[in-house]
Amino acid sequence: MQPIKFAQISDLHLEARLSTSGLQFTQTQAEQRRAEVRQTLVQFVETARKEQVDLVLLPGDLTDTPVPSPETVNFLIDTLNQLHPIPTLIAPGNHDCASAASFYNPASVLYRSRGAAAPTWGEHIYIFRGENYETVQPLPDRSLTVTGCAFTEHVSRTSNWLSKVPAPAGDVSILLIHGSLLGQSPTPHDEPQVAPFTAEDLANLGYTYVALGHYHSMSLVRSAGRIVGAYAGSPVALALNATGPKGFIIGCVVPGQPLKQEDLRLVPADCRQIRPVALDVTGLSHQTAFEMALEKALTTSGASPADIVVMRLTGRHPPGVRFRVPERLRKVFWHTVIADETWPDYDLQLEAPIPAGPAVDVADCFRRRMQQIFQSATSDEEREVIREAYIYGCDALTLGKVTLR
Amino acid sequence: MIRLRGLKILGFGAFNGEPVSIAFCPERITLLIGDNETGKSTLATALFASLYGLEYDRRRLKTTHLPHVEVWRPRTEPFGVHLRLATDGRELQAEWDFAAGTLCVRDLATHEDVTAHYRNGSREYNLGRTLLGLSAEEFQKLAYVAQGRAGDETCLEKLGDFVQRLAGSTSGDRTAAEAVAALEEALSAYPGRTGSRPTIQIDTEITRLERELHDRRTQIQKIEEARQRLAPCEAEYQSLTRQEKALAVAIHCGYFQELLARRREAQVALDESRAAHAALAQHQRALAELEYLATFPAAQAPQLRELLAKRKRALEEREKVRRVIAEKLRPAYTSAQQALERHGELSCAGEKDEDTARGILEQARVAEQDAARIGADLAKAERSLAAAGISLAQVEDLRTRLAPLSESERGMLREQERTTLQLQLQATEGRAAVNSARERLQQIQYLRARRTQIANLIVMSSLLATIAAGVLTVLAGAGRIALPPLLFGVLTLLGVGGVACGCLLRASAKRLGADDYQAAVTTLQKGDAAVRAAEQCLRTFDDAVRQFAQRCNCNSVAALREAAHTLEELEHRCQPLLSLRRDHGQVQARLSQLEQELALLQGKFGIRPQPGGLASNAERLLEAIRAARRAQALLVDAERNLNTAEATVCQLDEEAAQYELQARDIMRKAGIGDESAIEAAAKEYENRLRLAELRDRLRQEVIPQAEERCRKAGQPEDLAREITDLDVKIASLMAEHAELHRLEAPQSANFYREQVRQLEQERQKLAARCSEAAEAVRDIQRRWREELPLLEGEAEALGTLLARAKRHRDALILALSEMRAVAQEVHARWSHALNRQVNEILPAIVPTLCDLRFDDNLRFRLLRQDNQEVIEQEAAPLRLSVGQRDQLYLAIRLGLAAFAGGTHPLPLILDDPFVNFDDERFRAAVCFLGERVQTRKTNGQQIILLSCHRRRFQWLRAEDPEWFDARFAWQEMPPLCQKGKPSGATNRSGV
Repeated sequence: MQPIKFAQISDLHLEARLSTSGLQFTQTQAEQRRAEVRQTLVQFVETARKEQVDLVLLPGDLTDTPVPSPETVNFLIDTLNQLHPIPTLIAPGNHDCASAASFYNPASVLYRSRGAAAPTWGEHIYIFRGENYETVQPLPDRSLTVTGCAFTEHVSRTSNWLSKVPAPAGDVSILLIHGSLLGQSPTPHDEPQVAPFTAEDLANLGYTYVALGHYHSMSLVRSAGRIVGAYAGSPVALALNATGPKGFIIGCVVPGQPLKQEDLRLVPADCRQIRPVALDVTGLSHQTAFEMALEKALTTSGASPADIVVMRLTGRHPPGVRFRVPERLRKVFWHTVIADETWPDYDLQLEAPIPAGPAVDVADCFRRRMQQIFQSATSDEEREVIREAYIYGCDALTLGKVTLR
Repeated sequence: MIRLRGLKILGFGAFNGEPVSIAFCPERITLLIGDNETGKSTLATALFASLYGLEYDRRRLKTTHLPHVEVWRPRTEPFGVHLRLATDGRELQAEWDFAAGTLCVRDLATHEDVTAHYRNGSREYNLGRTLLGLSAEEFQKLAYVAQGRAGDETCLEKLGDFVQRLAGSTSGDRTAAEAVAALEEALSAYPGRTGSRPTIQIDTEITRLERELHDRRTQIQKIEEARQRLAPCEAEYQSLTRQEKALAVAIHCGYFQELLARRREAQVALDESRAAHAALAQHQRALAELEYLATFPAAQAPQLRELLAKRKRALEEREKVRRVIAEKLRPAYTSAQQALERHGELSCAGEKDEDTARGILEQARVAEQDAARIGADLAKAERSLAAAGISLAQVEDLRTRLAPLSESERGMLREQERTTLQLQLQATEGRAAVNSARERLQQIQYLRARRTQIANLIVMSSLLATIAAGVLTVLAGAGRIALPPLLFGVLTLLGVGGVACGCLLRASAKRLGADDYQAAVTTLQKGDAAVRAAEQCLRTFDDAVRQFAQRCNCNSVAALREAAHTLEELEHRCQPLLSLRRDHGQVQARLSQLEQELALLQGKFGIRPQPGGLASNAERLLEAIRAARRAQALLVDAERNLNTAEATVCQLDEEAAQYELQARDIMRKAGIGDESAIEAAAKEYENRLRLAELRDRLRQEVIPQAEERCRKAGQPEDLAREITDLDVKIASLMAEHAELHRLEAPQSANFYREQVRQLEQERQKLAARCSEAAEAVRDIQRRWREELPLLEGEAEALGTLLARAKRHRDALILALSEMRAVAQEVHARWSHALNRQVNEILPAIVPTLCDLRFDDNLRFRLLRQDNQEVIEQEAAPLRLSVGQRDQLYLAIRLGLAAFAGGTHPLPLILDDPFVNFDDERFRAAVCFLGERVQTRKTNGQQIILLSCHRRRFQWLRAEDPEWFDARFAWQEMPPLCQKGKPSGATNRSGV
């Protein structure tokens, strides 16, 4: 049997507001980013046609909500219709769940209200609309089956949801699902857990390949050294921690052979990357030194002007001196996010033993009292407040004014 | 604890020549003596800089408290110092190159470079802080007493603040109180969510954030609730959609049945239409025939007949009027002409003539009556004058005599006479008043003389009584007589009283009748003047009258007056007669005039006057004129009637001619030859009128009804076309839907149309509900898609802001409470220790001040020993002398140094603190310092004292060299190279 070539993309989150992503986009930037997400889908379709794939797999979260705007629905359907006649299979995820009101349902208000001239789902597209697993044979002349199911509500599934997966059929069996992989340590993702499973759970199912959606970074799922599936991840970086290249998968499954890493190729689709740049400001006493150090860190980070740079400032700064990232450095990149985690250069070791003997001066006395309170605190939150109070007290004593953090 | 061993100045400020070395004695007080401008303060600064370095950035001067490098740069290189010191058993040398900004610290024992221990960054060093544990500013505050500092009044006043700052310093510049204030300000001036002004209370911001967050969460909750309704709404929509589809099928069937029924009904209508159109064509043909018959050449026959009748009536009327003229009007006119001719010339009398005659008659009657009455009165007056013997000749004679006088002069004569009498009367009265006033004057003068005499008598008597009293007194004084006191008193009283009474009486006599006297004098003067004026006027009058008499040839004035009086009286009595004669003349003249007028009028009409008087003649003439005028009026009326009748005849002639013309015109147009043909045409017309009525009925009733029937039935062609179309539609529907084959349409098309209409209405209602359900779904989806992310984003941002604000508030409140507690604790500890230290030092240096107390706020108060006065800190600069202030300041600074130094005392640099000390206090202070060092009360504190008081120290040393040398290590200030001091370093306090 011939190998089966497929393209996989998921988690586009079309129409995502990007307001709570921590990226601090302006409205214009957010709009541009949403347009770039759309562009990746177009690129994906073009690539799939160019690569002459046999199959297109979309394991969920194509939109950010099950009820996007009619215009977005039109775009999605119209774009996916261009894959015709390549069989295209969609397993709706927790965000674009296939509820009665969703755009996946042709009888829904959303679908019908787009007007008579609006595009409709093409015949080559198959949508798993039920919670129960279905198995289809998208290529009648090939011994290939695709099994999948959908989220019908925006809720998490129970942990035993894989128990109802039917046994694989055909020479090549693909499972198309949306869920959270457990058991990988450390977990590279911080997306909320929905429909959790382990790599072993997937391996035990016996499918040739499991196309996964939900996590936003491309990752392979291995069990006992064998690749059982893969997350394509979001094709664009949508959150602060979504570092690294983003794109979609062009894969190839050879019947009867285990999947190899080189069979799954990530095609970069995002025009920009999130570049974390860390800078420890300890020892820097003035703005010029800070700017020089920051410039150096940016240079070594390899960030390009199209990238989104996350500047994480750590360490101690001189009391009363707050470093500012200059506008000229901000403007170098498409977008800059600054995470200021610096502390004033006071002795913040409040957990250290309280020295014996009387206090020397007010600052010493204040410190001792704060140490006492800090060491009797019962929660981290309380300790954080005490540490901040100590800094404010030191500010007041040293600078005569308090700089709120 | 460190010990400063020595300082080598390579170049610093004024020290810009050869290197200068100074050794510091660790056990004794290093006393550096030098005159003014020998570089003592520069040396102190160099010593400070050798520990803490210099500042190269001018903007940081205030924060680092270091001397600025440019101020102390010498004019020539090198620029640096070497400090040798001992610490922790090691001998170190700190070599500063200020020009290069570098420090090299060497261990003198091992020659090891230990600079790294004292480095903070590539070009920053913390030698002083590492060695002493103090910042530069703290070292200044604790271990350096600047020259002239104590003399500053504000220094002492702010000493409490200084101590507070010292007590509360961590980096050495803020007090706990200031920190508390800063924290309180941070609580009250929260920058808000945007971090920009205006600031608000942090609690206010938290309340606002909580409220806004609650609002957002409420809205999110509502959207979530709406989301719960999304599935039911969607289900309802889809159910309604299915119902709508079922209705659409039913409507489709109904429509098909309607088509079948319409096909059947159209066939029936086609038949009816064809029949109606045939009937209509028949009626229209009949109408066309009638249209021809009803058209008329005699259509104007009624008008023609009417015109001929009118002409006939006009001709008959004309004949009637002609008869009246011939029979009545013309004879009447002839008779009136004849009657008028009988009046002869009066026939032309007009209305004016009648008015003239009537006026003459009336005036003649009045004039004749007046003439009769005046004549009777005249006769009566003549008889009366004759009886009085008065004739008009007398009057004329007197008038002739007095003719030279004009009428005005005669009037003046009468007026003068009357005035003369009045003047004479006034003169008489004035003379009487003068006489009366004279009598009154004489009377008053008499009374005054009498009263004066009496007064003189009283005065004289009184003088005598006084003289008698005086004589008696003299005699009594001479002892000749015994004078009873009562008698003496009476005489004296009488004398004095009499004189007084006399004087008063004389004065009253002078004033007696003063007003009357003055009035009498005035009256007398006025009377005299009036008499003289009247007499003058009388003389003037007499002169004028005499002139009148001469002009009238009168012998005397009296004759003239007599003649004038007589003439006046006669004229007065003859006046009625004269008046009657004048009236009589006037009446006669009027009668004559009337006679002439009457004669003229009578002459005009050829009438002769008749005897019998003017009035009777006038009356006759008037009657004749009136009769003639009546005849004239009759003739005019007859003529007018005749003319009117003739005009009527002419008008009727014209009317008849006009009617005839119109009739002939119509006849000409209608082709009627003569009047007799008109009647025949009229009869024909009557017949045709009946035909026209029939035509109109066809046109207005029968044919429209037939047309309506045709219209209702429709055009046969249209109906045939409709049937064809229906057949096509039915065939098409049946081809599409096979199930329609079995449908029949027994009911009418309207029935099915109504059925379809009802179903359509139902479907529209259903569609509306469907639309509402879809709209509800879309609204929920829109809110979910558009509003929810925004609200969630806002809620998240607000939550973050709220958490941050709360954390800030909690942290600030905690810091504030702890800082307050710390301030209280530290201040209390410092005040206690300072009180102990300073009160040990104070009596030795300032004996007059016995006690100094710092309270818990580190404000101090003093107790003076001499007068037990308590001096508060604020009042200290005013209540203490400059010397006392310096001494007190030094005592406190020494106490501070001793307390703050603790077990590791700092090297103490005193830059000439005794400037304002007198000899005794200087001695006490220096001895105290010496003893303090000697007795180790300073815990081995190293003291470097710089002073310009060479003589004082020499004097002190001379007193007890052994004592002095055991405590002080005397050094002269090294010579200062005079290549020139830097401009900024002149007499500058070192730090």
